[in-house]
Amino acid sequence: VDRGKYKTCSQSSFCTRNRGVTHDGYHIANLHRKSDSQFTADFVSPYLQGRSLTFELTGLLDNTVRVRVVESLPKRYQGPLEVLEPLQEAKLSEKQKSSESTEFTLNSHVTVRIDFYYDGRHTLSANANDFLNFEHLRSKEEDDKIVPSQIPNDEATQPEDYNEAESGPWQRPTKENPKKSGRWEEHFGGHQDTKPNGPTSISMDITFIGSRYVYGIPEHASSLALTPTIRVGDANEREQVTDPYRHYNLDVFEYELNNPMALYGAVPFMIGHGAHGSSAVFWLNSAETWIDVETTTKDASGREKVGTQWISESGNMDIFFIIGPSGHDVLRQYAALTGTTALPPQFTLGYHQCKWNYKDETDVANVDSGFDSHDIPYDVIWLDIEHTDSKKYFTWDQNYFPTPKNMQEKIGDKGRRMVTIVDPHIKREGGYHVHSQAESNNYYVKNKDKNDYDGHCWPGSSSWVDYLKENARDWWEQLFSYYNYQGSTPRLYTWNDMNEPSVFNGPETTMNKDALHLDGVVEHRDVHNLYGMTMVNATARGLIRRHADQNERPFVLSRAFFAGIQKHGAIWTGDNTAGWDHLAVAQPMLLSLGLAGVAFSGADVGGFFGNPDAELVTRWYQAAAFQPFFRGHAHLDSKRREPWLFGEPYTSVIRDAIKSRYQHLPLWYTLFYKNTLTGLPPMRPLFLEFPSEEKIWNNQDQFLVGRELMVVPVTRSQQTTSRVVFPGAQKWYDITDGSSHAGGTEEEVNVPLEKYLVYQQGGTVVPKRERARRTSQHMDTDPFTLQIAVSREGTAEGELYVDDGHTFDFKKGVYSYNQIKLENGNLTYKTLGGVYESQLLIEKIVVYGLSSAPSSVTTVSNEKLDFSYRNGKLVIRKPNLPATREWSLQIKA
Amino acid sequence: NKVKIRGLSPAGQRSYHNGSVLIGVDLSTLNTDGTTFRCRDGSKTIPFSQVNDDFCDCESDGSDEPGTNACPNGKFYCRNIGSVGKTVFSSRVGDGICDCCDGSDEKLNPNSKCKNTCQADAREANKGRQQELDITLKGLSIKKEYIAKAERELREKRASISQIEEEVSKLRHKREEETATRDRLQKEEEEARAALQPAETVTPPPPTPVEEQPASDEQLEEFAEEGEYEEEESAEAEYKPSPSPPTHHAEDERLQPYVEATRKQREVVGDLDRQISEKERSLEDIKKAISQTYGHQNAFYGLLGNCYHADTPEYTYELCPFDKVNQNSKRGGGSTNLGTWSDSDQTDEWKSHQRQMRYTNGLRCWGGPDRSAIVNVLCGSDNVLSNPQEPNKCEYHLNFHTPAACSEEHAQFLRMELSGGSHEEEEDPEAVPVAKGWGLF
Repeated sequence: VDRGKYKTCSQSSFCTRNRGVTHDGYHIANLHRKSDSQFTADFVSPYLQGRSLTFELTGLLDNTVRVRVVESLPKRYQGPLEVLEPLQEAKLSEKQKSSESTEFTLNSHVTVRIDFYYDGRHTLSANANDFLNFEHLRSKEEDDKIVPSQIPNDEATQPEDYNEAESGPWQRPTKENPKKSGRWEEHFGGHQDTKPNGPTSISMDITFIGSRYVYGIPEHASSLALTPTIRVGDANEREQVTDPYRHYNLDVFEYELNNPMALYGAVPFMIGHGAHGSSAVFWLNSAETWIDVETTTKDASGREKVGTQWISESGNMDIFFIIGPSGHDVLRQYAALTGTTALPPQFTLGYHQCKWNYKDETDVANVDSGFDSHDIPYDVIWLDIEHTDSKKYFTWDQNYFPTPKNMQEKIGDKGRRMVTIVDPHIKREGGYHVHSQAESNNYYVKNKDKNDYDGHCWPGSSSWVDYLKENARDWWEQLFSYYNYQGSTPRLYTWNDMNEPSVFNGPETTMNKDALHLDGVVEHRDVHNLYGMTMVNATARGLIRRHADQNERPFVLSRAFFAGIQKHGAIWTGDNTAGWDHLAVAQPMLLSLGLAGVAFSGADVGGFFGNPDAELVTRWYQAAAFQPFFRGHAHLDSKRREPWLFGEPYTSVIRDAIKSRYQHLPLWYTLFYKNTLTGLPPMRPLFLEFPSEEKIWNNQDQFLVGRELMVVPVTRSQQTTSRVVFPGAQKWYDITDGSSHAGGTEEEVNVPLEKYLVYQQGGTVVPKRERARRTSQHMDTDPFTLQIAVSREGTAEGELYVDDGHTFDFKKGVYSYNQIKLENGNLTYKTLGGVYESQLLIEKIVVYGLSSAPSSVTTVSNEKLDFSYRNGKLVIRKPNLPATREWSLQIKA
Repeated sequence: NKVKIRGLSPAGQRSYHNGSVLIGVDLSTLNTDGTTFRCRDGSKTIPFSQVNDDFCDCESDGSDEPGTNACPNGKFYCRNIGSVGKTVFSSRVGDGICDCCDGSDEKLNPNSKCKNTCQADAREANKGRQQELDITLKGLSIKKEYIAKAERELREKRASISQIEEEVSKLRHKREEETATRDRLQKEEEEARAALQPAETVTPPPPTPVEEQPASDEQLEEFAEEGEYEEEESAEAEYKPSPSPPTHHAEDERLQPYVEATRKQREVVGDLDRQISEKERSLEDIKKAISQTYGHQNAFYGLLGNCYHADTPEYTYELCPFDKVNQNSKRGGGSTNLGTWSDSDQTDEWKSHQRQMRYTNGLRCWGGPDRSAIVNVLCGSDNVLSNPQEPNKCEYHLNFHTPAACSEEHAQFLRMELSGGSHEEEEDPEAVPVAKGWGLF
């Protein structure tokens, strides 16, 4: 990466004005209870020059408290409130007066400080370090009048390393160097940011009490347990180790690993975890944001704590304090705020094949038939930017794709789909219908002078659709109709790339902050991190609206994202590289995304840039087959790498990995359905399921699929053994050979090339479809296998979710969600929700972990079932029980 | 007691019936009651009733379910009577897609819409084969001409070598003589100059002229163009271009005859040098030409010196066999070399079968490798270049149909196919088109 192209905190005026800078004197006045769930007050400070802002403290259902500080002026961006689900308020109590499970104390004698409690236990603090700051709107003249001496204790509160030469928070801009102050104008990389509204930043420190680690705030190519950016010493002295984590959606060319630089997306949600469980914070702000994470320290009572500081360039302060107390709780609580993952169409959980670029219709046909002739299943073939006529989206290159409908029908006949790319930059070319409509109807983002923003991207001179505008959004949605998108069919889905937005000649390769949305009402600065998601939202709606009955689930893959993206589409980790370190980093990156609600995510298999060798690509397939979004992709300059191009033994090993993915589709689909109920991501870090096992709190080498499977990918070249931690108390069963490992142990396991380490936890049920098919669609009527691993107590529990796989009928109750439970030799299949008429059967039940062969397996009607028992593995043969109706079996010892 | 197992090839069926060496059958029980079945890999023995019962018992090899899709690793054989039998993956059985022309893969699928198209397929295939045969035969007759031409021209070329070599040797001999004459004349000239020298002591020796540089460059270029030059010539080149030093007028007149004689003789030698290097060059060309591999019977020799073209919307691709492949822009972007021929770069696909030519070391790609082109060589009644592709960045693939690639064997094969019709039942186990190691089927 060219680091010089991207800002550091010290090159960002508002970051410097706030990072580690204390401001005592912000306090609240006239606190009163407005309702059972809400307290309001005036937010006052000498810094605010006589203005008073509104302070609100609102209790929300399920142990969540929202704190807002609002300056209600038109120039101040009031959002992004559209990402929030309808919120339900709940009674909120001050600690002294009640014994509710969620409580707070508000201390505001000199400086406001809020402490949050669960069941009397302190979990979170706001402004314990006095980093709170709110730069209210002011005129340039007013700002010029602000003199440091007018601010109480200003000198005293400056940190030791405070440098007068740098623009301090309340330093009058020096006449000699107005640019340097950065309050009303800023320069970077030859670009000017005019900042007509002056300084508008906000900052707050939040302490996670009782946490050893904090997690989340994707997207960074960083560790799962976030590496501290501030070292706190014994005497509480603070030393900056690196820049803070940055949230500013950027198209970073050849991104580096293990640093806090910004990437393509931003979810300002952080979870803390420690001995007493988890708590979390959602910082609802779509402007550029910097987040410091301190090293773990201990409070007076010896509890571990992690301090953080959050700094945003503009917008109001809108913070959700999520009290937990467990990891499962905070994920449900966060899902209540921003929503759960839209249930993906079943086919999207299969394997996707992409390359920049499949050149023409023959190329597509050849790749498609290559999968068939090598007996490798796949569901979707993708076309990158070259498929268009001169990068004009919604068009086809007539020379290379003369019959796109025919092409889609051909692959559709085999049960497959296609995805084409649609980016937000619109080529400024006369006669291009998308451009002329956008231009004449004022759908484009404006520059600071209120002309259409004109920048450089793939097509050359381009403008960007302003998806914040309702009419622009509506128009965009209609572009996906079969009439407007000539050559599209119901088999075609969409990929939104470059939507950070990427602007080749813009500052930091993105849009100027002083560009304008909503006809000049909102600065791009305020909504930068939100922009990409507004596009994905409109695209997904467009794919729904193209069907008359609006009953088909959409699929959109996006590179940029913000909190709530899970409601609209999947994301991938952008332009990674064909290297072992990038294979390894995919795990912490995807786990962090899942913890931040973004459950449907993946990394390009093989690595986008460069050429992986056969071993790397094979190991990558083995890992990614157990990660949520599973797509092979490669750069224009990279060599072809369709799964069969590496020869034996690699082709066979890759085939096994992809087939294994398909066999586990019922588990994946069930886990995605469960996400809609619980907010739990299918791909989980170990600490989420084993929260009290300290040594795995920061484990990112292994991960879980649900609580059922544990995956230990091989991420080093020539690796022959893997050190595996088996957490918990239950046995872990190797899904490839049935061998078991005791929980609470660590083992060195052999990993020859063909071996992938996936273990099923004792006490769980994995629903599978074991028959091989060329696509997921062809599995729709195949019978299921229930793979049960019993617990030490001889029990097991799991679920199977079934619906039609592609419509919204499940929202009307047309589905079948079932619980499978083994207890005292009784295996019961009970419907938890929905009604779905089907002929679907369970063809096989496998039980691992029984100590001896049963004497009989019988149905309720006393029918004896065929079974075999060998090496601890019981196979019940052809029980042919219904998958969408209730039943039970008796397994007699 | 003949049992037919669905999804098995005739070879597989027969092996079963015979109770022969093939596994998949529990020999101990076959002849008595035939009630058990042993998985091909011996991993398990199951009741015979569980064969093709739509449940996978032989999980490790899928051998108990050749007729269903129950085993993810199985294979299914379609008899395709009237056409050609084939083996498909078990994943294709009952998936609604007609993979077998007899529809047998979808026979148990109640929603199947597969019709038996084997007869029509066979007719279509025969039509295709007939066309292919016609093309092949036409190609073969042209190929014969190519071979004859190659034989004639290559023979002439070979014969011309000794003739040219003899000429060269004569010329060399003559050159030696003429060189000796030149040396003698030079010596005489020097002696004459020396004889005059004492009287001219007042004249300072001329400064070494610096302006000799341009002449020298020109000379070198000329030599470079002619290829290598020998040591001797190089030595000569050093003094040859030196212009005569400025001399006294009187001296001029007296030396003039000597100078003139030397100059003329040098020209004679120079002329001989040129003749020799010309002959040597053509000798080299001929030797190179006859050392190339033009394929079996040098059938491809006839393509030498010709170029063939294929168009895409943006480019015209040009193949000059045994020379180069170029990509010429239609928008005036000029010509890009995609690779040149080198015998040593050719793979077995060329050396043994003449199926694929490689052209390498083309113009380097920006940030990438040198461009290269692979030309797939196919039988045709005409020389036609087609289907240019760039499957990887800067790696080009083209198809080249040429009579030179047609083979008698292939024509024979097509004739056999055309006359034979369906010969499914006659296949011996080795010829059954199944994956290696699939003993039973």
